[in-house]
Amino acid sequence: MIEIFFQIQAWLAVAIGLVLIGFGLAKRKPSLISLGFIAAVELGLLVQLISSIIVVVGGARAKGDTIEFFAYILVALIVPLGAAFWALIERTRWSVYVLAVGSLTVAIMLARMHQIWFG
Amino acid sequence: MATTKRSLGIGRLLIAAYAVLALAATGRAGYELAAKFNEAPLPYSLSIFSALVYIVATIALARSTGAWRRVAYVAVIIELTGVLLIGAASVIWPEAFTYNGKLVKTVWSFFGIAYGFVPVALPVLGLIWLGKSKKN
Repeated sequence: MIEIFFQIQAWLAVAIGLVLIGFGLAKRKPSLISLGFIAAVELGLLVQLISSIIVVVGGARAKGDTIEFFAYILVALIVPLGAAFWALIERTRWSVYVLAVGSLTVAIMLARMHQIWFG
Repeated sequence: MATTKRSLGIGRLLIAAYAVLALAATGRAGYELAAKFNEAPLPYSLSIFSALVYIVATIALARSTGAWRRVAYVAVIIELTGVLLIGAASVIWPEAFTYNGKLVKTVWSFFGIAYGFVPVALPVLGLIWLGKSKKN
């Protein structure tokens, strides 16, 4: 895990989660904008995955368990996909909250990943 | 997913929260089972059990008609009992969860403190929602 990528994505995921809660309060239905936000969260996770694979191949290891770290990334990658899938089949304002929950869940999982990696 | 009237609305958020907890507990249990089950069989068995209960509760709440409703009630009540019993046991009797001098935690330890107490809040909200949606 690379610190700067972590910082950028963790705060981005929190910000997107809060904006999506705002969208939900404004009673907006899922749109290309809200789906684009969750796609950005997913893209960030892919950056984490690829950059982490590169540093591990380069010889770096997590302070905690490296396997647990990657298990977290893989499970985290499912969260935005699941939320987006939900928003696509159920186009109500509640799905916007589901997207928000997904983004905030990713932020929490990133914090845990940071803890596993940096100790 | 069935789009009955009962399952629409704010109940959706509850189901989403359950899905997240099911995923978290399953991920944790899967890792513990694969990497270190023999180190602490009791807490890790509890992790697996709680993960299964969350999966069943998520599916049953998402369906929440007919027999699924009863399944949802049972799962939510088992979950509430589990978090209260294990939460209390982890406070009163920590030796039961201590292996090689180290306290091993479960999803339900200390009433789910590691998960922001979501594990103790969700079954209560689940019961309220199941009770309310019946009247509609």
